[in-house]
Amino acid sequence: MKETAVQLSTPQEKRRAARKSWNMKRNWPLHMMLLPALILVIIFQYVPMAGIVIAFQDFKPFKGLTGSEWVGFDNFRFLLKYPDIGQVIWNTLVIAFFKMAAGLIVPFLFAILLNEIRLMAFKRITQTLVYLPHFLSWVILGGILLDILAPDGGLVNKAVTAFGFKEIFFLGDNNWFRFTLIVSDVWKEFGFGTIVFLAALAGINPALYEAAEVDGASRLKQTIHITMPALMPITIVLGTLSIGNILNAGFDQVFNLYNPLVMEKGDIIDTFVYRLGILNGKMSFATTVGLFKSVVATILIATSYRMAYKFANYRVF
Amino acid sequence: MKEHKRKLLPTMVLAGVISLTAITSACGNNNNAAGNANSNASQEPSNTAAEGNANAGAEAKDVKFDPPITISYLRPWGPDVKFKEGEDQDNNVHTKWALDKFGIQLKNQWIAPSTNNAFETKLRLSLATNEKMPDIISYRGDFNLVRELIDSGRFIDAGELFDKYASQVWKDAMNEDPTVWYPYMEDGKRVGIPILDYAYNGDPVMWIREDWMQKLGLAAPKTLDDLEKVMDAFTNQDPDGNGKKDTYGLAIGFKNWINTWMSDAGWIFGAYGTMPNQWNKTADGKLEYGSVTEGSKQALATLQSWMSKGYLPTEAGLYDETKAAEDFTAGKAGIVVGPHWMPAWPLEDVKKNNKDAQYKAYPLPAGPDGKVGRHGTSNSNGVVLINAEMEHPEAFFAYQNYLFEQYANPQVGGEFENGLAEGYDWVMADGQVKTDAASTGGYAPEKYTITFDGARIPSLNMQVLSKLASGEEATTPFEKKLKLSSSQPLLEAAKIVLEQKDSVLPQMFTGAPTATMQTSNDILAKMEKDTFSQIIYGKAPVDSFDKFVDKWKSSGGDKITQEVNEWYQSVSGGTK
Repeated sequence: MKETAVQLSTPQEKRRAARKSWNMKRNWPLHMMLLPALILVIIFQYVPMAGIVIAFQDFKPFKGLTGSEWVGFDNFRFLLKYPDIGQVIWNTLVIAFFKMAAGLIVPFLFAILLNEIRLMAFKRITQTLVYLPHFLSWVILGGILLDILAPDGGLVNKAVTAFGFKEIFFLGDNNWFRFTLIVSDVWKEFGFGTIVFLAALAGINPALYEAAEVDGASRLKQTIHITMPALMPITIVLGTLSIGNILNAGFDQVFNLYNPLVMEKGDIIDTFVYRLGILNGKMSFATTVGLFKSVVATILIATSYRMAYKFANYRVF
Repeated sequence: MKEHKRKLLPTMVLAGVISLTAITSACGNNNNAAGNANSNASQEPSNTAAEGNANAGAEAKDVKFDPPITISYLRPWGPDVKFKEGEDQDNNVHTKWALDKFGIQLKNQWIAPSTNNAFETKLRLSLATNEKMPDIISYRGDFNLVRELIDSGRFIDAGELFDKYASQVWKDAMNEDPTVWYPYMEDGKRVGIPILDYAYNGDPVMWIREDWMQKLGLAAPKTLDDLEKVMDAFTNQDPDGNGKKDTYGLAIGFKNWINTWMSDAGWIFGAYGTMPNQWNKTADGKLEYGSVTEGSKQALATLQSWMSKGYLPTEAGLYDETKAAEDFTAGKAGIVVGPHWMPAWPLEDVKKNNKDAQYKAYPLPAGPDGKVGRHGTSNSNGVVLINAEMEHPEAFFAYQNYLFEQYANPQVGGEFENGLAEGYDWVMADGQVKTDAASTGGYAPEKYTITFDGARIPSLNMQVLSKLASGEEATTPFEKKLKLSSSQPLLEAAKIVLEQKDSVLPQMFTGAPTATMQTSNDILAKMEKDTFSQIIYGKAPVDSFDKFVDKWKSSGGDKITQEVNEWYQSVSGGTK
């Protein structure tokens, strides 16, 4: 704005300004194409944010946003004082952390292994097979897992007893439940994650491998010194993004698998909010927890972004 | 550095937005799960008419409005409602009938389906934005929404109107259990007229594999001890004859609640004189929470020993009601407890897996003191709210009275002898009245009515079923209709349900969640479920129950008990 007001003096500046307006003139259809998306984001992402005020109210639907009583931080106090909240947050952190870590490492390794396979047909088929579970919903998988993991006569436990161990009550034992959650989540999602890494692998310049071969590097050395460093940027991107999800331990999955026997170790923030906020109709409280989670997630993402920049000299955005 | 910060801000905002959206969408997943567990009160049909003006008014009959008036209303439209080509919610055989008969134009203020809470969401929105409410809201579902509507103060004391305008048939039906009013009481006023449903519909009986019993030469269990013998035989004597020990006694599932609508285990507590997860009436007229009584401890001890002996499925704690019943239909379990309609679904599936399978209903067994107890079923499944600004409330009563008199139990020669509308729920074919879906196309015009099912007299259904079970001839149109649609096991089960009706332990608390319930219900429920399952699975000793009771009481349970009793005093007016 200022630029146009100030008298343009040097020819350089004149040229720059001219190019700018020319850019706009020439590219305005492109800018217009951005507009619908922008409007949608504003309507559906920013405007609803006004609903955050519910977290500071004793919200009554028939009184609406404007008529409900303001209660300040009462809802937050209630949340932090809730007797179970410590356990619930801890469960969430543990489950989410291990899901994140395993969800990053397993596809990473799997993609590298898959990349080494020469037989194209086998590679393709494996790739398809492992990412199929991604498309099944947890409602369906919940029923399937119940049968597969059954202590008497379930497939997995038949294998366990065949090796001479005692059968394990995967879904009904507090010591095993989190493990079951994490492994089943990785099983469902790692195939999908692999695709991203495979795409990155395809982008590595073959000349690097050729040069390494000329230098006498073995396959293993090539993997360690070429493939892995090449995958680092995308790994950091995925890792950084997933840290924001540290308080999301997977509502669908836990909701469909948990039961009274494993409440202690399996109850996470989302299922807790569902029961309290939806089943017991405490909408203000549900919003409070939502806001709480968003704030934590925002802080975490910001931190991890900085760390990625500082230590890996990498910028996501 | 500065630039760095500037770039960070949109990132942060975006991230915040993303995670917030994720949360709200997770919460969108909804809420009917708990509804079933809270089966409500049911009492013996009492003939004591409500005090006072039982025969006042009631003469709203034969009203016809000229010029016609419009009743605007709202109700959720379920996916089960099917219309003929060219008809819809506002224009169908039933609305035409109402216009011709009474001069009443039934008009939906707006239409929203009951699925995915579309109706609830829309209604809440219009409440929040202060839109004009329709004359009538007819609703069944989320009780919280009903309370919100009542709290909004826009609906009239419908009880007064009911006393004035309702016909005797309707009043009698309502008086079969006057507690149906309780959920809708506000400061002694009856805001909201309960929509009546058939009584005992969810009351459990015990279903046993008859062919297994015969094969092993067992007698029907009358007590828990007898039952234990039967279960032991089912578990250890290979009733399906495949040479493997792959069967067990009793299919129960308590992933949701232990006292529940199917694959129920509440009756085991009933045998010790209590009912968990609901409010029971004690001898001195107070209400107490069943899960913290001495009887529950004994029942848990029983369940623990059954689990350790292998009579119960190892995964009972993971099974919901349907999943547990599947073990029965798959031929793995020999006993399941559930409502009398289970032959219609899912029990008949057992024959798909084994064509020789037979099952039969038996009365619930008695406990060591001879006690039998089961949960009840509410006589009501919804509510009608009348707008304080409705111009002609008597029009609604004229309409509903007529349905109660003519349709609820139609008379021979009456307008609805064969059904509500020819060409819809009945047709003439070859000079005969046909009501089966194959001839009619499965249309159900009673679903077009304001109150979802036309009009139902609670006790009628079960009485007729029981009568038919004893081999009596079907005489009235209603009896004939039921006879066509009910199988023999179902009839026998209905008879047992009625015979054992004195064993019902009704849920006495039907009001809105109290203040302490709102804050403490979840933690108490979690504690209860945790303790119960730990005891049943033998991971905690039975005596840990006492610790649970203490903790329950100090964590808000005592306060809730007090609030519940205050509520009960307020609605029952202090009468015992």
